[in-house]
Amino acid sequence: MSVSRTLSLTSKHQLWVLSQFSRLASTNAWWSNVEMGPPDAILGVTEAFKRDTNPKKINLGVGAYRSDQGKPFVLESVKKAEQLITDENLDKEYAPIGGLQEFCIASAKLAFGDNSRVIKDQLFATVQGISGTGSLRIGAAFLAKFFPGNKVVYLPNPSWGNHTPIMKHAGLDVKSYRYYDSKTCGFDFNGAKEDIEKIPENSIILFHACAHNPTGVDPRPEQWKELSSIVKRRKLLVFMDMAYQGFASGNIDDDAFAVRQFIEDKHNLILAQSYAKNMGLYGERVGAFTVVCQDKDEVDRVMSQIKILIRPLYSNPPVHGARIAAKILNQQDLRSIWLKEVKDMADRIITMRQQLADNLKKNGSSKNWQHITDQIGMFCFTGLNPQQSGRLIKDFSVYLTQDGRISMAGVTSKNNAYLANAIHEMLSNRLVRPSSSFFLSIIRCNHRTVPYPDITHPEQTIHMTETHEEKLALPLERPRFIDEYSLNGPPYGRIYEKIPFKYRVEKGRAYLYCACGWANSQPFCDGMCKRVWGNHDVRRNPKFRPIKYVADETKDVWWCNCKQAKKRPFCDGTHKLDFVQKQSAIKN
Amino acid sequence: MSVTRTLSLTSKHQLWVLSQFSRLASTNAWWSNVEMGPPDAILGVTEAFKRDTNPKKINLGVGAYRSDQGKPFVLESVKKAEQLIANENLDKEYAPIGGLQEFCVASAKLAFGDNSRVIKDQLFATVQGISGTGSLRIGAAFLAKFFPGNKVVYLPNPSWGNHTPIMKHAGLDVKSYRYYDSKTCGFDFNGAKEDIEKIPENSIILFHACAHNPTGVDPRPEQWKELSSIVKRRKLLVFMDMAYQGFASGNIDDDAFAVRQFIEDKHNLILAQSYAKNMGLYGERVGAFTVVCQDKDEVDRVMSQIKILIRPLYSNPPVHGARIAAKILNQQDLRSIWLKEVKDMADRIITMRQQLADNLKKNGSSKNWQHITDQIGMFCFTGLNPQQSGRLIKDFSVYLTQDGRISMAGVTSKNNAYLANAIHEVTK
Repeated sequence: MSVSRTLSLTSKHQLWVLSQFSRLASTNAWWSNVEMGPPDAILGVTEAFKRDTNPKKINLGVGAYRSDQGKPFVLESVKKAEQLITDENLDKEYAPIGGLQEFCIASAKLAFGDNSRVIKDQLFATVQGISGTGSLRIGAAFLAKFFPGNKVVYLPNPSWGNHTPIMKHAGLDVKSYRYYDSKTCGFDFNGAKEDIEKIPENSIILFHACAHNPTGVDPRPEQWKELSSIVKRRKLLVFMDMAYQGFASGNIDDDAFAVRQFIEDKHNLILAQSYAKNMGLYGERVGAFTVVCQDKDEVDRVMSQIKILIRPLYSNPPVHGARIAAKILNQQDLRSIWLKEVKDMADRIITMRQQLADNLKKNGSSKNWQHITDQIGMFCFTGLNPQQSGRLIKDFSVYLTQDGRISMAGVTSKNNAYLANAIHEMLSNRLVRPSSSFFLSIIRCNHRTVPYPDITHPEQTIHMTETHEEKLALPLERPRFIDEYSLNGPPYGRIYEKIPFKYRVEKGRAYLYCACGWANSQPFCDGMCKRVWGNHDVRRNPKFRPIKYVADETKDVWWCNCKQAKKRPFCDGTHKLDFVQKQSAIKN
Repeated sequence: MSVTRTLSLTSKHQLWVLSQFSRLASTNAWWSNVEMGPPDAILGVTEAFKRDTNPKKINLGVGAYRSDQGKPFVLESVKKAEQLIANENLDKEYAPIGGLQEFCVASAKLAFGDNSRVIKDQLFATVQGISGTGSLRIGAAFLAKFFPGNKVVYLPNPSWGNHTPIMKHAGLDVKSYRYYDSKTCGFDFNGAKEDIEKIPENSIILFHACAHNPTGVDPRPEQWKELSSIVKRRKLLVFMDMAYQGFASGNIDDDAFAVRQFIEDKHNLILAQSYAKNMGLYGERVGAFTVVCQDKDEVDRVMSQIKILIRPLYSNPPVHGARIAAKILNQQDLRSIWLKEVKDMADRIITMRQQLADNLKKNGSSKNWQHITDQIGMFCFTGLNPQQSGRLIKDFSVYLTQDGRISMAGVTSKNNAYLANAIHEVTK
């Protein structure tokens, strides 16, 4: 044991890698070192929602449109188009690599407008993509291979959570520019302008064309014009992400204003479109990726290269959804029905926003809720902080994400008043007990840099969920052990490390022992249990919580790091047993 | 000029890069240096076919099944399933990241067999993929990130043309092992064994589970058993690509022999499946990727990581085709119809092979054409060299790829004799 401790970290790692190889070779256990990935944050909200038994519960995490009855909604134009397609008895042959031609052209026309120079001179290289994500991914792959400038994408802050993984997965670097002003719950125009001025020339800048996700905050037309000229002057490639055309204002031309303005200002931009929301084609995965080119020759060259990139990704795109979208866009009667339905969906959202703002005022709220009606699209940044969001969930069964984002699609005329009341009530109540942050900041579990408390410097404090003052304010208790919990006891957590950790505890100080095994600040809790077991369970049931221990005297204590000991939080030698030693631990 | 000549290559390159930047900066012409990509080989064949005015022209480049009338073919079971689905008035909400659960479970059962230990102990981590290509791509991404051994995939030589770009695009290295013996137009078993023995331990080896593409040459059952034990001894991870289950012999269990043999020999293999051919769902993009794991805990961990890889690729898979496939696999009457249709498709191919071999003999050809009936699946490596293939195209309007590969799916009872005659003419 002491020998390995004196070895440097690199040699220890090398020894470990070698031992893995030989272990591999003998056991056919290729994936023993694959760790459980962090649970999806938004999915966690939906799962907690499903478990809630409160009849008044509202799910505002959902990113899909819901009717006023709170149900998923298939558009009439889509149903009609599908029926026509069925009647045509088409085959199921492979689409071309770039997708259905009639869909791609119609999609480009929808974005740029029939009279655009891009359409008239046929300067668009458009391929069908797997909805918005797939189209962004093709774009990222294209940029990674062919962009002649800095392969860095500047995203607005904040942006859609999946933008960063998409760009990074393709090999691009990601930075950001200021966008959202949390003080005004509006657009930080000056901050954006300042940051964009500093972006190095020949970089890539991404804009949400309309209905910014997650904030709902869009620049005004005159602001778009100014941004266009700054970006032109800075010589940046513009990547437009348009996932809500028609869905934001109800009018497809108004929502395409930014794209068309940039085209007018002669930006040769690239564009990702999605038909998931505005046609309700979510699971059919319909989208498009376009490169606006200098001339026809460039279009041909670029198209040939995009196809070469698509082939090793998925060969050719799914036909069904694209056939529906092409029919709707190209057949006049279906198109009219669709335009009306898109307007209805957008209008319902706008109406809900107005009602919510009115109801909040009716409740007597003195806060400025103007941003609820100023913001546009499916999402609304309420301005609530993580603690307030947590209390909305816990006390009112209103489910939203920790950044205070609500999906207006989940708001109906029936639950609008309850929602307004919940927000108002929550804001009016004073804190009566120490409130832990209900959510975590985004944690990328980096097990290699666990901030172990340095035992040679006992005065060094560890970051914990409750402040030190709050912990001291808690009533003094005798040490709690496993028998004090429910008969079944807390579930056994994941093995963090197969050796215990010695830490000196101080008399009278309370420690929250991580029982789940996932915390970064082992052996103490930092809130990961809420992610692992679900916020709802941790709040409601003590059996999932960290074990609180209040030391009766200052002494050295061996804390159990394998999380399997019967006498948790303290070590009782269980880590030496076979069943623990055989399993894989989080920390090597 | 002499000044630049005396500059080192690096500085010249730097000067060029700088000049590019300034040119960029002034012209907004981001893509001026994007060159025209090489045209797709197989697509080129089809385009030349379309331009040809010869009424007797045959397209043998096509990789999709054709009926005896030479038409694309939608299966009856597929049409029925689609009708049932339309009547259910389902919504179009997002599928889970890993795809439709009922599809994934049914797909794993189809591959491994209902009684396999993998199914009984639930040791499969299966996700829906975008047909065969997408499933291979997920697998490659998973290997590139998590494979603890050598990140090199050994492909058979030759292999499907897209295997190499898929692996390389995901960041894996690609090598090969001998597979096709051009002298016998058959399986180079000894060559394969020799090369596999030399593969470094803890590498990845890919096999076509049945109906090898492009050669049509499959190992025999006893050869599969021997390969399985060699690979086990060499401690290699097996990547099975099964794109033709049911389509090769007409029997889904027989075609899954290799996969099930390897499972029996306790390989924790990974598998890519496609329903493009055996269900005719080409454009609907239905496939599955599976990792066979040690235990349930490993399944959970592996699944969580695969989903994290899928998210930045396309978020979640298309629902329509998977709903059709799930219905067919899970509903007994549809499944029976489907099994019969798959057998019919395979039988037509086998019949065409037999007729072609017979017709070649009738034409008086002295060459050995046994490989036409020995090979299996949609494709047939005729053994023609590029010159002979070129003559076939130019003189007889028979369109095939230059490696002498023909798609039996394009052969019908009507054009069989003409094809035999043409082949005889260029090879005599």
